[in-house]
Amino acid sequence: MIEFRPSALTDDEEALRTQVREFVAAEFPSGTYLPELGINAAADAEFSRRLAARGWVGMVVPEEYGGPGRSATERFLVVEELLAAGAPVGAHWVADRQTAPVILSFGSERLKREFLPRIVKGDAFFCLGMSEPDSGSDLASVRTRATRTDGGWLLNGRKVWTSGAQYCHYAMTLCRTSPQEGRKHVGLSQLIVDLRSDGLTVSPIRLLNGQHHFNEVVYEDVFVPDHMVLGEVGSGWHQVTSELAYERSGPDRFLTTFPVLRYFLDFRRAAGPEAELRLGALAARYWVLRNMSLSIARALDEGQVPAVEATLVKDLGTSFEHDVLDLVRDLAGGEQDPDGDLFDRLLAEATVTAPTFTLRGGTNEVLRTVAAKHLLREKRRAV
Amino acid sequence: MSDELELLDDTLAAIFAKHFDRSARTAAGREFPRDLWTLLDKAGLTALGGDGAGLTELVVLARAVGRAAAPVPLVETAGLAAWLVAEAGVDQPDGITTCAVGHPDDDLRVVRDGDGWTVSGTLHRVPWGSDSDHVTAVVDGTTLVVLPATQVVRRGVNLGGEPRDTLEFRDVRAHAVVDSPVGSDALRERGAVLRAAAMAGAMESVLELSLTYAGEREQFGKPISSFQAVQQHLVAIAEETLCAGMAVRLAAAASPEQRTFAAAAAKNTAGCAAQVVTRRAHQVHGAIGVTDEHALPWFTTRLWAWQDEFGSAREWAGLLGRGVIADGGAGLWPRLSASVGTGEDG
Repeated sequence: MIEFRPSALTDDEEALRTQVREFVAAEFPSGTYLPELGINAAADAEFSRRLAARGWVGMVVPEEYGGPGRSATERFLVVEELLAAGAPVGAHWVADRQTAPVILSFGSERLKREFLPRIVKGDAFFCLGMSEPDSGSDLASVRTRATRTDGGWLLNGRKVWTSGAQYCHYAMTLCRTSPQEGRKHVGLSQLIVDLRSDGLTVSPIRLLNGQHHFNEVVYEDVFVPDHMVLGEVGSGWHQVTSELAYERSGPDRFLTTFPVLRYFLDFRRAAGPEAELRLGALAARYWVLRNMSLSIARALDEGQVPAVEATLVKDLGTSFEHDVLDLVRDLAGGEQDPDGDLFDRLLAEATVTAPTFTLRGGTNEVLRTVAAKHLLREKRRAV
Repeated sequence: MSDELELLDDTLAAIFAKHFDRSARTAAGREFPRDLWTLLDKAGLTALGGDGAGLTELVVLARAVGRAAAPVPLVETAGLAAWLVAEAGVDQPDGITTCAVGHPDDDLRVVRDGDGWTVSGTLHRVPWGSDSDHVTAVVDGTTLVVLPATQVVRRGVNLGGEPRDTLEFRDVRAHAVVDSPVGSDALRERGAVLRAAAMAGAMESVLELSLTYAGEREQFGKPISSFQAVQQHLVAIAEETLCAGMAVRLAAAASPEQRTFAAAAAKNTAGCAAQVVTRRAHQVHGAIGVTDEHALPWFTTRLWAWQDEFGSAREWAGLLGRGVIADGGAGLWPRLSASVGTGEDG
């Protein structure tokens, strides 16, 4: 049976957090800026490099590859402070959260030496080439394909919803490297593709409020050298699914709308029994979800693979992000004004981008189906 | 869990499984399961909270009670009364000592009488009051009263069939009347954490029953667990059960300054979770789940009772919310992200 365990912070971890908190307080005094909303955050390469200069990008990268060699828990503590403040973490986000760990796990020595030091410095930003026009939740059905050529691969296909491709340097691209015969999970590979390659086109797919976040990335005979294949040719599915514990469990899965709540408390009046009851229940949920998420970081540090735990926390956390918005909107009252003060603008932006919370990284319905199968299997095994 | 806690958990589970199976439960009806109690007593479990056990151990104990739907006042004796008595330095009285819950209509009056005290008044909805030999109550916020539980004026039950009796006292000679280091608020807090722990345990059993039933029950030629609509129920039950369990463990691990917050969060979380879990589990089970031929109601009826005891989710949310508003935007994040302690700080 799955169980989440509380975990106290060590003195070193508390000290790290104090440093981050001071940095964040100096960079982002409440009311002086429009907070970013989680992983929808804008890219600010300068900010990413300032963070990197402090050793807070690619934190899990060991010293031999230019990193500080810190734990998943320490990364968690840094990231949650940034997200709670609504920092512009977009540029380095994917490289920090999952590219660095997967290159560490599966990459060749050459890839490690080539990319990890640059990720740590904030000089290599990654996006994820996963979804396609006909492959969303059913990711293994991707059709983008790479065929053998001299010294590498020729890549053809089309990716969509690729966040940040307009400013990133590389796309970690899931593609088919051998034709599908039987099981679709076989014959997939991950290629690191330079976004400046010949034959590669990035074009925006605008969000419903006109923002440029998503892209379409089209590959037409894009040459990818052999050494840019991550891990083994053909083991892409295994590698992608092992990324999920990193992708699904972090503070980005419950803190997206926290800045909205904070600005509400700072710049609007909360009073009366309804506000007390609803804010109280909200605080309890934050407290529990944050500690569940933290316990997953601890489990990763202990070498476990808490994939199902991460799935459940993502489902709970992203649904909760919606609940926070509903509550703030109720308590704030009045009509929403996308051109109002900072709180108004933040709430308006959160409202219209909220549907993405429970879609990205796998829809919550699919996550629940995966989790249910695991629970039923474990139950049968226990009998 | 540490080895010691696991041993405690296993011991309780073994006693409940071996000595209170389905037939024993049916045979006992509403009779107090005396044999089971004797075993728990011999195992040294009925006064655990007075033997130096901390909240972490008592949470394990309460969770085991909930997981077994054990019809015994172990939370009240081991978790509350024994703790109150030990903290106040009073001798543990003989027999079963239950704990009054601080009902708003309670009206005990204590009068000096020679070298002792006599007590008059009424205690309402006392757990297993009629089966107990003594009862503890905290009067006027800070005075611990230990009384022989002799005069039962009304036998009652909660929705789970657990005794909740009204006891009346007329010039009854007290076993002890002392200043209590544990005030009535602290008692209510601990009561809330231990009820929440029992609820988390009960929800674990509801999850187990639901997974089992969904895997076995066939309709339209296949197990109902193969339907996505049913799968969504199962996952929601699991998620809320895990949240409740975590909230309770956090309350046990809380540092002294976050104890009230963590207790409130635990009872609030368990209460909210119970609504989801009971509703969805009954939906999964269909009609068999609302009959006495299935074990599900042992747990769901207790959850419906326990969600209101020692404060509802709503009551504790109010306390939390007043704190959030007082802290303001700048104070909220440090509060939510404060590290738990080790649960050993007193």
